[in-house]
Amino acid sequence: MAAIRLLELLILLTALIGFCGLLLRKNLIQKVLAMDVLGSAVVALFVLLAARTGLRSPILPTGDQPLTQALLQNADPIPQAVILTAIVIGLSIQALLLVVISRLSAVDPCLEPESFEE
Amino acid sequence: MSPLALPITALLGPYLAAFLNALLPILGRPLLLACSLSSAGLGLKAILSSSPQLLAWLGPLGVQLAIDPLAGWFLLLDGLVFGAVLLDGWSRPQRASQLTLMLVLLGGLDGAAVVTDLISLYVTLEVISIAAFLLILSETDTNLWIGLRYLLIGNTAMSLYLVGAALLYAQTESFGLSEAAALPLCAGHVFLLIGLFTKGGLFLNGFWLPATHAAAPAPISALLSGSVVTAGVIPLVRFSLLNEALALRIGAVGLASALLGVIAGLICTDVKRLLAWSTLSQMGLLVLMPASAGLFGLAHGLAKAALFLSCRQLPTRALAHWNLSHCRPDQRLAFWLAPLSLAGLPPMIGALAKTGTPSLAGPWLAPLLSLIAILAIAVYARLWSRGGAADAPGELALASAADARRWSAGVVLLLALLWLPLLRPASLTSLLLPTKWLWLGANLAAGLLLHQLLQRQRQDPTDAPSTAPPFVLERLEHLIGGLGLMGSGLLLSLPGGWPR
Repeated sequence: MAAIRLLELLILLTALIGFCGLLLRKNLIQKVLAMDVLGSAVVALFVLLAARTGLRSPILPTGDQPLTQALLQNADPIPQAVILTAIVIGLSIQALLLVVISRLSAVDPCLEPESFEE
Repeated sequence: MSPLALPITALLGPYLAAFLNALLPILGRPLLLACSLSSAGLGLKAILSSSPQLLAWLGPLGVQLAIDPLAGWFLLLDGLVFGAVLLDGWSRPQRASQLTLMLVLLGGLDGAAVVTDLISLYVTLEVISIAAFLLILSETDTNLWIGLRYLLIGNTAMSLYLVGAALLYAQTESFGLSEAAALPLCAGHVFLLIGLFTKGGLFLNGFWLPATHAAAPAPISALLSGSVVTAGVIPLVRFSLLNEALALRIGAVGLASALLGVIAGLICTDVKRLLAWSTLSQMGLLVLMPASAGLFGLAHGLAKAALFLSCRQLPTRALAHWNLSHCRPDQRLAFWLAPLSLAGLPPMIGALAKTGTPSLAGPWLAPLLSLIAILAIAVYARLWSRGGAADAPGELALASAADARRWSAGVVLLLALLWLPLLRPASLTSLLLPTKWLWLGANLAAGLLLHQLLQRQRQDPTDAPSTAPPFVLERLEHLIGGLGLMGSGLLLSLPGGWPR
């Protein structure tokens, strides 16, 4: 499907932008933010992956409602469940990084990597 | 009782123990000892059992574990290294938080050895890197920058790894490692490899490793270099065994890493950095020989953990002022024996590890491997000989006389384990052939000769300040650039990747 292809391309482009930010930005906070852009692109990629089979939340209807074709077009629950774990891990790692950066700001308030590399 | 109850308990044990230790800190050391023993026991059982235990929760989409001989070697290694580090620090006061982190780290490492699905692997690798990051920072505040670099690079690499997992899932509808390896080579594999190369400290992606392992406190360095770094290479070995096209690329990167590590080890000026560069080199050789990777990992981990543990309370870390006669007797023993095992002197365990068949082939391979072996011996020879410069004034203040006589139980345990092959002399018969001795003797002679030549160059007193700046490629920007470079290189090596 063309729309999915286009979205996938845009998401991979976002990941590339995040990676370039990580590479080119001089400030550590900006580097961590760029890493978050990369992480968000990964989350979006998994959500897109789940949407290939349908957009409905993957919950079966209750009662005697007949299972129509529209109801069976669920999103794939596996990538969604997986990326939830990754979001939590990414968040905790960012928190740890920001703590360290705030401690490092006592050494150099500009937070430029050059001042910490020996 | 289900046959799986035992392995599951052993794998979950460290995490439960970590919680328990946070509540009852007095239990910390016995708990860590018990977890190390159970990990080593599970490993031994997996190595000796004829049929691997496979486990898939929730079918092909869920968690998949394989307690096979390959995992067994690394479980055994983790248990032994953690046990030795614990014994080494038994007489010193240790903070409860550090023991908690070590328990979590052990749990993550045991998990990484047995998982065979991409997502569980991601989770265990991230658990490992968070625990290792906190351990690096645990003793001093001076490691903030090193810790930040470790976590930032590791997390970026793992984000790329997740991109790879997603791309592969789109094709296979499964996160299983064997399903991913069954696909023809594609971009998804490249992203996975980038993440795993970074975690396993290979070639350009492993440049974060020397500074990190050198800056951490000695017991933590022993954990990092002995067992943590193997968490990233186990999946690479599994991929190599399953897919030949992947094995070629992994083997090539491993070979480049092995060569680079020994060359850097000849140049560097600090003993812990020398050991860390040697780790980078040895991990390269490990992935080059996937069939015997488990034994290689065990041999390397035991020797390297003993070496790093011996780095505690050295009179000096500068190789220019290096003099073994100022060290404690157990340090002297470790700095002699462990490198000899790494170099493959029978009947130590390193000799058995060197018998694997490489995943690459070609007439140039044997001379190149010999060259690496000779360079490695020239690196180890720096540990055996005196540094060129005179003793550094003021740096020789040995610790108190009581401490100087005390032998570290952990180092002794690790050094004793290096002689494990003696328990099964049958395994050694093929190693004790005259041709093998001749080959080893020639390598040793060439390595020592090279060392003498290089040492003469190094004797210039203006040369080799003890705090030489790190290589330019070890800077943060270059580490991230290395990720991009390796990624593009591997993408171009895909079939059809290079525009012809």
